[in-house]
Amino acid sequence: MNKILIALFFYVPLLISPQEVLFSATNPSLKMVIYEIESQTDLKFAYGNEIDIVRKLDGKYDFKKDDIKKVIKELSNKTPYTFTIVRNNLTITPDSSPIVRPKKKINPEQPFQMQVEGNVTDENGMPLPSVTVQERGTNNGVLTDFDGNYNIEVSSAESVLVFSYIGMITTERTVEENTTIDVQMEEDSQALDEVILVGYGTQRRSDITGAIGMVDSEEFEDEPVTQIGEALQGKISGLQVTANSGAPGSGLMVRVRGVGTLNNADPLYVVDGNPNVDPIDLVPDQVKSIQVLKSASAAAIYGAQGANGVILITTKQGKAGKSTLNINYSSGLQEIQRYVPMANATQYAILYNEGLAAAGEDPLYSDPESLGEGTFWQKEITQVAPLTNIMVSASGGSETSRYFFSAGYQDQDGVIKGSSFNRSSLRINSSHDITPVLRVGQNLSANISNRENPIGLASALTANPEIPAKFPDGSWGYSPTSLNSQNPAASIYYNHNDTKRSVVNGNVYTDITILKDFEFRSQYNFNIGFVENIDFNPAYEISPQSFNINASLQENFNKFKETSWANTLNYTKTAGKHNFDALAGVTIEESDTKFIRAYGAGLPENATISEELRYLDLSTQSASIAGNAGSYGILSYLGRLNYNFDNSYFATINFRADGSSKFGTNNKWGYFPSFSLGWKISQENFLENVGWMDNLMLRGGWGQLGNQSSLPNYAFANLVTPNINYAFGTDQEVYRGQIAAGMANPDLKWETSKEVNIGFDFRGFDGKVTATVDWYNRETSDMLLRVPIAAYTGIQDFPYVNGGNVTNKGFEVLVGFEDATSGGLQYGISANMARNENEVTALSNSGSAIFQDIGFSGQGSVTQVGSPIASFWGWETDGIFQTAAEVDAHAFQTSGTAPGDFRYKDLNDDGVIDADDQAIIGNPWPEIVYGANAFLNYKNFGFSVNLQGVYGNEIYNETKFRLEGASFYGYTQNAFDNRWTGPETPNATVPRMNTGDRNNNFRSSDFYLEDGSYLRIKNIQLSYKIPERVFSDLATVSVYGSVQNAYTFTKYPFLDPELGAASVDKLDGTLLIGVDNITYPVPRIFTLGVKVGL
Amino acid sequence: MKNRLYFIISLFGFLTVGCSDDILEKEPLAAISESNAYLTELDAQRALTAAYQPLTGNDFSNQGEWGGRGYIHWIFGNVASDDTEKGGESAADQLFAQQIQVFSIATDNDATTSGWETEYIGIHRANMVLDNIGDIPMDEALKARYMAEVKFLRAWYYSNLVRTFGGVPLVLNSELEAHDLSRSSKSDVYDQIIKDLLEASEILPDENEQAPEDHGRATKGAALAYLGKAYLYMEDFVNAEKYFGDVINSGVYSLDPNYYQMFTREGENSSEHIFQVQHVNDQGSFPVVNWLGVTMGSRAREGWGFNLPTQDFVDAFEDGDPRLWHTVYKNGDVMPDGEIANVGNSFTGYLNKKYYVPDFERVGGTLSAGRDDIYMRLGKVLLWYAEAANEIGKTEAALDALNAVRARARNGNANVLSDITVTDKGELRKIIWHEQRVEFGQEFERFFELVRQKRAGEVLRAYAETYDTSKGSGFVDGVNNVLPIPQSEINLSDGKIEQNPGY
Repeated sequence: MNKILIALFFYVPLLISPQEVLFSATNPSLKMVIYEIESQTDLKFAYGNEIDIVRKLDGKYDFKKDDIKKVIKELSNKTPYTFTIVRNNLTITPDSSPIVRPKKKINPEQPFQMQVEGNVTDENGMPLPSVTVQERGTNNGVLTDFDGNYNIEVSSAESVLVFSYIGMITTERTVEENTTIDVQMEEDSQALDEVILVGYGTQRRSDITGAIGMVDSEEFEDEPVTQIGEALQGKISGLQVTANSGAPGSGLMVRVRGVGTLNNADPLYVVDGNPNVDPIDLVPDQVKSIQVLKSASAAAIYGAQGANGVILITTKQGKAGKSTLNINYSSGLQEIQRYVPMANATQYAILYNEGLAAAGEDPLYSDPESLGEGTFWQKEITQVAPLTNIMVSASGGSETSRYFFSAGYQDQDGVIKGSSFNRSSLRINSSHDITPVLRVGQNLSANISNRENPIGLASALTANPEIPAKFPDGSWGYSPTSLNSQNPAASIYYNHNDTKRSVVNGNVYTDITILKDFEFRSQYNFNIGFVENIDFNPAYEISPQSFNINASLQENFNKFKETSWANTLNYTKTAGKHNFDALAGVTIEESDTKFIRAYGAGLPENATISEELRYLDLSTQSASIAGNAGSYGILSYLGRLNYNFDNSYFATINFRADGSSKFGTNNKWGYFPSFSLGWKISQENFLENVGWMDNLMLRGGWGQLGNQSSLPNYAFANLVTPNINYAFGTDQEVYRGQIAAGMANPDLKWETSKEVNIGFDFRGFDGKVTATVDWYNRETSDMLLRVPIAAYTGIQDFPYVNGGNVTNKGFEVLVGFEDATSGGLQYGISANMARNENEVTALSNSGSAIFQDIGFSGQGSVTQVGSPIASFWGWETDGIFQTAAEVDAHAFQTSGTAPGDFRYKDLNDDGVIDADDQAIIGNPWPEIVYGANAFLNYKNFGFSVNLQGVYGNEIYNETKFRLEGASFYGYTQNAFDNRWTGPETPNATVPRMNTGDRNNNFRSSDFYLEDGSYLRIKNIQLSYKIPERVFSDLATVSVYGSVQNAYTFTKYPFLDPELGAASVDKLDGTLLIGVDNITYPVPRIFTLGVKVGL
Repeated sequence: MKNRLYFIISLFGFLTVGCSDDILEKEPLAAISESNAYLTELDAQRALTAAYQPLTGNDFSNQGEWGGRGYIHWIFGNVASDDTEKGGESAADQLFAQQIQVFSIATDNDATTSGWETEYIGIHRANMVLDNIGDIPMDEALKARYMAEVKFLRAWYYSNLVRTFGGVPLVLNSELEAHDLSRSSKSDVYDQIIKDLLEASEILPDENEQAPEDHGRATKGAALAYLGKAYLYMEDFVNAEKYFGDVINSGVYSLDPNYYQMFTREGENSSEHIFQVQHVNDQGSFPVVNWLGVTMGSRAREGWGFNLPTQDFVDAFEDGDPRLWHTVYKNGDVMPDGEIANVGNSFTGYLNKKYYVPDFERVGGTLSAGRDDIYMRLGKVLLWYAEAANEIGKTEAALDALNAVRARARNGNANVLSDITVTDKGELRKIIWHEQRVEFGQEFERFFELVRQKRAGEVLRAYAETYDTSKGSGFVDGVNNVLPIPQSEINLSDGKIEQNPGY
């Protein structure tokens, strides 16, 4: 219906000054002419879809710094088009049709009844020529003349006139009895899709001198994602996104350009300018676009919170014009991607007997064969789980008021039984122009989510396969003889751990244009929520060994309130070829949290089945309470200056000063400057004849950023831990003690990152090819570190110090290709990859390493100078001893070492295998993180594929400790197939079964390491837009289907090579990277959906 | 006009934000700063209470949030010796304990690491009291007593460290900058222990002078008993005899006629107890639970089946010694609560009865009763006295003490445990050693006693051979007399702290 398709390459602020064009070409394409003129002048082109810009123009064109008026005159003469300058627009119309369409009656029986005339102006009252004025639902339309006047005949008083113009919000008016309708059109910032957010403001995409990655909602809108992080996976170079768990409603680990800290390495999320929003509270369907500020020069405006990168998220906004209603419904099924092959009951018994025998104990199973296959526990506790998402959104508004409304409900069961997530969400965004210079608005979001927290899959791997899930009489299965008698199905049945999260966040703002070039914005942001966790442990009896006679209930109640207020003043000025854009601002941010826990036991017995009895009032014993609170505040001053000369040479300077209450008086303030430079080299004369190059921007910058987010609120103060109790007296009265368990550091200051970034943006071959390449070197110094100090000090909580340096260097490449055939086939492919090298360059901890235990296997993670953060650490295996002679010939391991045990390398050649023979054995960080996206559109069909992968990392499969040898827990099929049972198994890769394990085969070693590389087909999607004639004008309808996590190519033998932080709550989570202790796997999801637009 | 209004509004916004500098000063919420923590008498009492608290760390399951993971007496004292098998699910269950009983001990062994950490936490808390309560205006006599109590505690923590690891860094104040230490010699550590105990003994009251609400605090008798023990471990038998003698002759303590009962909750205020760590399970807000009841309890009864008395230990008892069935139990025994015993998966067939939690002691259905740990009692003092007296030729005194213990044990039955009359020093020494093994069997001393008596290797390897087991077989003389210093400590000291030889 909308006859004018808009293509807009550059938007340039109003500038009236003599313009010259220097350009020489033979038979150029119209597109090239447009490009040259746009590059050299401040004019922007406007043309309709009847103009074929790829078409070659006949003849030779030679302009030598000619005035633009002369240029367009010549162009108009020599080409079949008319070029017209109005304001700073250059419109192109075919020579043949100054007033385009014939007046054709839509209904021949009904003659035109009314004549309407009027004048169309822009926001400043300037007349707008070439505005299309059309009677809605007809082909009846005219263009306004040079003075903005129009005259049109319409069929009735009910007719609606649609005014549309490039770069302006389309406006509609009902004729009624008016014969004169004057319209003032408003600039449509949404149409200027090349303008992007840079923090407290916007900038033209092509003018950006820092490294910024972008994802638009179109790139993820039909994927079944519940967390915004998933939408980013594989789509932005330099961004590593990993699910911490596949459980419904869990968060993701997002890392921008590696990690520069042992502390919280999560990026800062800023949602519509609100810096306090937890990404878990965002509904992907409400998001319009996401921008990732990767380089320090780009993120520096966020100062002390920007060191881990900044993710700017814009939610959808209303548009003036016709109101629209969109309904999106999708439904799907999820399944576990794969199971770990486990030993069956017979094999389990054989292995356990072998292990006992090797330890000198009697076998437990006299007849393993009689046990048969047994139970495959992974199947018992997993399910094909449904997923539903419904979202209704409406948007619209008048010239002065716009709104966007969205309400939705998501419901997802987990592939592991007993886990689920649902979320009701509401968002209202609106803005109102009170006067031409005063706008107020608000973005408001409310979410309520419920989550059933799962029991992990690990229990299904370690469960005994000889036990049935249930006995024939319906009671829970158990083993009267085996010590491994856990029943995971029963555990899931009795697990009642639910989290309710209710969050309201958003902001209110006002924009005031004070003087002509000054714009003031005041924005108040808030994020308020409650998180209730209810953990009910019922009374039950699974077996004589496994029962609970005392039902207990624990309620945890978290409350948070975070507010911030930002006041910024923006100044834009153009003087000749000098363009300025300056920003100054003050922000304050405050956070308050409160926590209350209550526990009680002795609940009524039938609370096991009656949910309404699960309240603490009914507990009869063991009441226990706890509570605490915390707060912090940040005060910041910020400033930015953007300058460019002649749209060729660019410079940006950012400055931010942050003061934080988290730091002691000695170092309250931190200062974060940055600068970046750009050179639009394609503007230079010497490249003017390179026809395939549309744009080439070289850019580089330097910036300094801070990270304070992982620091506790009061690390500067030495706080006393209360309730360290002991009993005295013949009656044993409990006394309360207290001690400062930690050590304060009043000298704490910001952790600082300095980064150099160099890169370029390229567009060429008539816009078909795009490329962005960045190289960076980021050095983090004064890293906030909890330095382990000698235990003999008696300090339990290690003190924070500014004590280490880390370097991240790497490069990022993004290339894209898009084209269309004349037959209507549009296709494109883009690929991105990033390489990052992480190295610790200094640790103040007297230079010694920081070790971290990995599960039961010991100190398997090390952070030391010269290696990446959290490298894997341990002994190197050198095969398995086959004979006693080999044991004797090798360096002494232990007095119990025997054939079938691992041989460890004697790295220091001292004849003894001991702690000095440990070394770095692996790297949890991928060498390369990559992604690729392809699409194909033909007529009403759309097809797309997203790929995502990592290469070159190791995974520490800690579950082997329990599943491949030493213990009575489950055994993998691999342990059965590949264990050493004697010299006849020289190719064994798993040591002999031995429940005693005197050789300590399960110490941290390369035995645990696996290749972590994988390539995942993240999403495949097919959509079909039902032709309009089917539903006439009533609605647009499209249907789509997708498969998420369709297939994974990997050598990794366990559940899933995608491993996030093992423990996100604990500080040591940052040091447990790439460790598999069986997290909840990410499911494969099949969805079908329908979208209806009214 | 309007423009000016907007200008004013904008300026106002700027200024309002700019003035809120006080948001950078946040007082800690829900927490007391250390600077305010030593002001009143109650503060002194709280600081002292915190110094006692690491005593309660006695098990891997007792992951005390604020007291370290614990010094696991039963693994070092019992499991490392010939008296006790580790038990549990299989050899791999609590592998660190398995490593200790086969003497193939990794330097990052959990038990040694957590034992080291916990005792030093206790030492730090004691130092904090000594360094900080001096200026508190309070009753000076009480202050002196508090100081004496923490000196006792510091000595107690050091005596665990020195017998486990040998010489350790001596940390005697809470000034953290000063901690760039290396290991002191074993004798320097003992000298400090003796100094602290002597100073404590001069101030601490006798137990019978203690108010009932102070029961469980360090006493003069406890300080003297540990002085004797320190000298015994230094093989200074003259001083050992002197201080053990002072305890015996003080008249404060007497042997409990009911041997078994003194290990139960009912016997917690026994006249025999000299130093015991207080546990209580009131199921209220601040329980000081003892997990050993669960750890050593039968698999058949919600226990975990650790700490299995060996056949060798059972066989060590003289025929008819009533202490045997007070110390261990087996399937079919009738227990104090009337239950018929089922030892679950104990492959030796025995469990430790001194930690049996009868049904009437269970709290909320669990075996984690509030049972006290008895670390020093008159029975031990008498037999150590006997040993020291015998070594310095006071044979009669030695026999008196030894026979007092046997007399109590025989409990009026004249047919068993007849008085010892042997006077040959060597032979009597063996008899006293044997008596020690059975009198305080499973009471966390055996391994250290064997090392002290310089026969650990001989005894443990003989055990391994007799029972054809790996337990004890790996003991290397000159290496395993002490356990490895935690690897993390060596790493963190940048080599200043040296590992024990052989690890």
